[in-house]
Amino acid sequence: MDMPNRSKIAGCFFMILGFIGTAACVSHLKLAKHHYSRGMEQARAYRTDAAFSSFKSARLEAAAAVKGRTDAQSYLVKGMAELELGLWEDAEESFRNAFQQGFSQAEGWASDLALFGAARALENLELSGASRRIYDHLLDQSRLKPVLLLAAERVVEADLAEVLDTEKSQRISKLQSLQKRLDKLIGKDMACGYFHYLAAQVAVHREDYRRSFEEAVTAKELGLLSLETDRDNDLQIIFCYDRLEKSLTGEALENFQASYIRWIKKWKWPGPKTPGWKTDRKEERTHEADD
Amino acid sequence: MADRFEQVLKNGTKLLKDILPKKSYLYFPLLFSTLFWLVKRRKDWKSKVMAWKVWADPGRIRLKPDAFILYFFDFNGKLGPEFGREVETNNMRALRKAFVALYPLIGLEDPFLCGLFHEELKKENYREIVRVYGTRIQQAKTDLSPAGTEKRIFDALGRIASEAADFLEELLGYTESRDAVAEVIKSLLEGREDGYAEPE
Repeated sequence: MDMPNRSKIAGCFFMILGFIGTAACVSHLKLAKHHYSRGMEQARAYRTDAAFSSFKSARLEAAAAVKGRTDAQSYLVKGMAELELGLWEDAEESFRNAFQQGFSQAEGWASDLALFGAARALENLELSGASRRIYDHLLDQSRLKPVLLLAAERVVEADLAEVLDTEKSQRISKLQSLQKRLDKLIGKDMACGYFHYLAAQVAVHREDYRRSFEEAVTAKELGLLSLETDRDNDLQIIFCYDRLEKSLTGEALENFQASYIRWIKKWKWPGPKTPGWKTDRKEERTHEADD
Repeated sequence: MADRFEQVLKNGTKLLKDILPKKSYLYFPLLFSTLFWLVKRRKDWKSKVMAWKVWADPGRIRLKPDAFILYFFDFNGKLGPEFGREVETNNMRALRKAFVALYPLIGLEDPFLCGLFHEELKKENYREIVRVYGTRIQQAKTDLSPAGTEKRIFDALGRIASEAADFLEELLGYTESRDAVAEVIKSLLEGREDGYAEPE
């Protein structure tokens, strides 16, 4: 081999090393996290089909990651994707494996999220007692806001399910204690729209429509994470408006209606009972005219 | 033992002499810098990936009071002919079951579900929606294929350019490798074949 060729080969060697080094950095775990985060963004924007595809990709990449090397985070992402896909048993196994690998001290966020994921899987495998204790623990102990939101949602849902199964006379005390718990959360983070949304949902079960209306409006003003929750909150506002409109009289009714009109103008709603995103507006406007 | 070791070293040196180009020891600072950069880069990337936090989002509250469910069926006039009897008799068991399927479709207007039940919505066949709701969604989820990784060529080129810049910065940080690079460039400009200047 002559000298110039050898120099070129040496040059190519350095370049190849550089590119391999760069390419090797794009790991399966990174791709799994990328697909999972993307899936969450799509789910927020109500792009359910795209979100499911992303969660499937996240699961495949995470499965490849756990084959290559065993770290708790790869199992965590696999489990979270499986939760989104409704594969409860697989998710439960993934979270079990994640805890077997163990999380480092710097991975406190991952540990809390895995604990929530495990509870969510257990809940769907009919172990609601154990999952409830984990949700309570996370709601009281976790310092991570995303985990608090997730735990709060499950606690509210579980408490409401319990309330709907009990006698009407016993419901009020249970709902009041749930409302107090939410008030505590709101007190800690007044600017979190989701906590106000939850408070509005609980207040409507107590038939406290004024409180529910106020909390729902606050939630809308502070902003909610997903389009689905936002629309649900809008329908809650409309329902409370309908109830209050029927129960108030005289000056109180006039004041309430005037303030409501100001809000819906701000939100650019075409009518008091028609949010801006409604497609079948014509029919509902006719219904409003009938009212 | 010492003789054997010496022999191994001699053989190794001979082998390297045969394989590597003339005066290739001059490349060693470059090689050292490259390997150092690669190890550092890989460690940085790994810690970046491990530090990337992913979160799930909380969903909406699905359990509504009876009054809200009755209002939903009453307010959406088109549901009246189908569920009027249940509303009149206050059959909350049947209404709750129907609400689970119809609220995301007619109330929240979920685009995915509206597409999935397009035919039934057009024919206003709401009972059929309630009947097949769970199974059809499960089927649709199974049929969806995983998303492919998007080909973002400009992002990739940008990343490669940024990596190359980092690599050069690292490389030129060492006096030896800086001298070696300067020597290679100088010899290339002068058109010498072995890539190194002859000693004066």
